[in-house]
Amino acid sequence: VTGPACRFADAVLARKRVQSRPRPARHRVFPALRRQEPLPDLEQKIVGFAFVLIGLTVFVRGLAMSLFPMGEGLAHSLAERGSVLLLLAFAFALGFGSTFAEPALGAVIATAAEIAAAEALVAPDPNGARTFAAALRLGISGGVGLGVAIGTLRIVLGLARGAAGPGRLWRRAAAGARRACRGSAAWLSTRERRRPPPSTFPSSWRSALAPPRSYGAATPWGRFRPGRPCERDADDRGAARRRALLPLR
Amino acid sequence: MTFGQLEHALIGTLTDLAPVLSVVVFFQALVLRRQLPHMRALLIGIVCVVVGLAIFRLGLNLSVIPVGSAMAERLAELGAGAGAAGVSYWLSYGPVYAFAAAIGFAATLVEPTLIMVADRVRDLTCGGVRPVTLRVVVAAGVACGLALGAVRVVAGVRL
Repeated sequence: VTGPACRFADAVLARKRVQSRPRPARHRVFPALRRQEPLPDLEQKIVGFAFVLIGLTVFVRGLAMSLFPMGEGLAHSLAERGSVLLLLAFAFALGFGSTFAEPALGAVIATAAEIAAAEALVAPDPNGARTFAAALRLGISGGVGLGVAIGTLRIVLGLARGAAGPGRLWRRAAAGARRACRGSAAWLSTRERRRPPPSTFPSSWRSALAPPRSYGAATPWGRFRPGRPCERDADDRGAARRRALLPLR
Repeated sequence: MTFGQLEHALIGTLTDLAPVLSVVVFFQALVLRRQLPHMRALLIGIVCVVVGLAIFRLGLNLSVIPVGSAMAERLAELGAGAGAAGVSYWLSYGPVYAFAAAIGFAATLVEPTLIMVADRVRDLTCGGVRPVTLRVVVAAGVACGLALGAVRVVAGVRL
């Protein structure tokens, strides 16, 4: 593209090159900036930046309207059911699914498979490279899913609070495991599974999963159950902005 | 820029979002068996997500990615020139490492999902973890990782 904007940019850059000013400090850090060659396709890049801005705005807005409250309500319903296995399965599925279809991961895996084929690390036919790519993708997705599930389990067991020094971590792990074992009968029996007694749950269960700013408020998923009140919520400076962003709450 | 590119970006976005949406729909429909209220707002939001992400990716492909790769190529040429001039070969790529760290830091700092997650973390911890702190820490981690990765690639250290 060689339009008027491009010619204008060329003219500006050419004029700059003639002037003999002292070099700014950033040119010593990034000497490549010194060359000041005009960018090719400047118009296309400006249009692209505008697209980035518009797309980001629409995306964040849509996320706040749909996926965030949806996932929040879903996670809350799962937490209310009290089945830890179901919660872990949800966490794993979410981590696995979102990584499996990640486009950046796809690009990296394609490059890795090419290199592996070139270095004769896999069978030379295209089937070998494909198997390698599939195994890599499955392994990475499974790892992310496992990580999310372990993080969820950590929150459920009450290990996620406070500074994590080794001694403190160990003490908390032991206490969390004790509490989990005490409550495990309630989780496992079919009669009590719907609503486990709150005393058997780690205290961080509620504080970690309860939404602080909608206590008792009517939401698309019924009334949120009130939990421990959040002290800072009243004078939260971001609250008005978030309310404007989240019309569903 | 053509409509073919936009179509391509839309299809890519749909395939990206399909697993997340299917997990949510699966758990909502089969496990919890609860009708979703506010269906219209949810659908509008999902359409917004798909269209916004498609436009965003199209913009990235048009502007940020070519600019970034051109800059990286120039920096790499520069390092190669210095290396040929006799400077220690992996020290001469200093600008490349700085560029990698800076680009990782900046890209993570403006990552939209990280911004939303940081807001959620602030709410969940009753303001104990400030969103800016979380974002800066994550971005610093990404920057360190990218710089180390660039050093590894240049120095040829095998994993």
